[in-house]
Amino acid sequence: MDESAAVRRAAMGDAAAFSLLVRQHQSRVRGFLLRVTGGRHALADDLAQETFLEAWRKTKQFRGEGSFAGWLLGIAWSRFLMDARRRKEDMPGELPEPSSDPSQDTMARLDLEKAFTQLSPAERAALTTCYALGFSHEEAAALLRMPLGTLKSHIARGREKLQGILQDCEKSP
Amino acid sequence: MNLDERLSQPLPEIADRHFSAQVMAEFARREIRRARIEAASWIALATAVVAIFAVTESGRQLATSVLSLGFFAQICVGLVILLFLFPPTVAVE
Repeated sequence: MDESAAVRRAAMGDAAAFSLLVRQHQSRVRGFLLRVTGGRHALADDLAQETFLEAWRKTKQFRGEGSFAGWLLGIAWSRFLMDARRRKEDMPGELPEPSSDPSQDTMARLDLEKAFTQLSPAERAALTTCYALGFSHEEAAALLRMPLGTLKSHIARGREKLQGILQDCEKSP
Repeated sequence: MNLDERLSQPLPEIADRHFSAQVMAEFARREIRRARIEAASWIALATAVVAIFAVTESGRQLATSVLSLGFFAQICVGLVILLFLFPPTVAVE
């Protein structure tokens, strides 16, 4: 079953079709939320679950104007913002410790993930959707529900901060 | 690797590890809860209607007059149709 057929069937109440969509998109949604929550696995998974449950209730509202993945990420971002407003706190992340013999690639990824925790959630979301997830600026602005100019500012500021943080990391032993 | 290349690396693949099954189980749990609340709402509504007719003086008078007019069956059917058309809705979060 292709994605558009699964979406149509899910909108008609087919739980099996929706289950297929959850399996297809869970990695992307959880990965995005893991990034924006600053590496908090439990919180990211809770928000991902709420995202999919909300998506199930609203599947009929998906009009197919953008991608289903983008629509899901928009819900995930709203869920994150609602939770952040409710918590009004900024807990430190739970980044994994590097293994005893990490490869160069793993180290680079860990450095990047660590650096990401020092950005604001909006900067993390903007950079992740536009770079790692490959959305255009216009698509990202729509799914994050922010003006295009604001999105571009977040990207520019986030890149600048990351550049500085990663340079400091490379200088320190 | 420059910053743009590093940022453009796809997000690491996250293994499902029963996540999808948990989502569907939670979905089923909430559906059961929603159905229970809906059933409870119908019972509460029916109880309220019976209580109005049985307990209050005006309800008893109305019931008597309706019965005496011979419209009781029609009114019951009308009420059932109205309840089906406008069922009590319950927000489940």
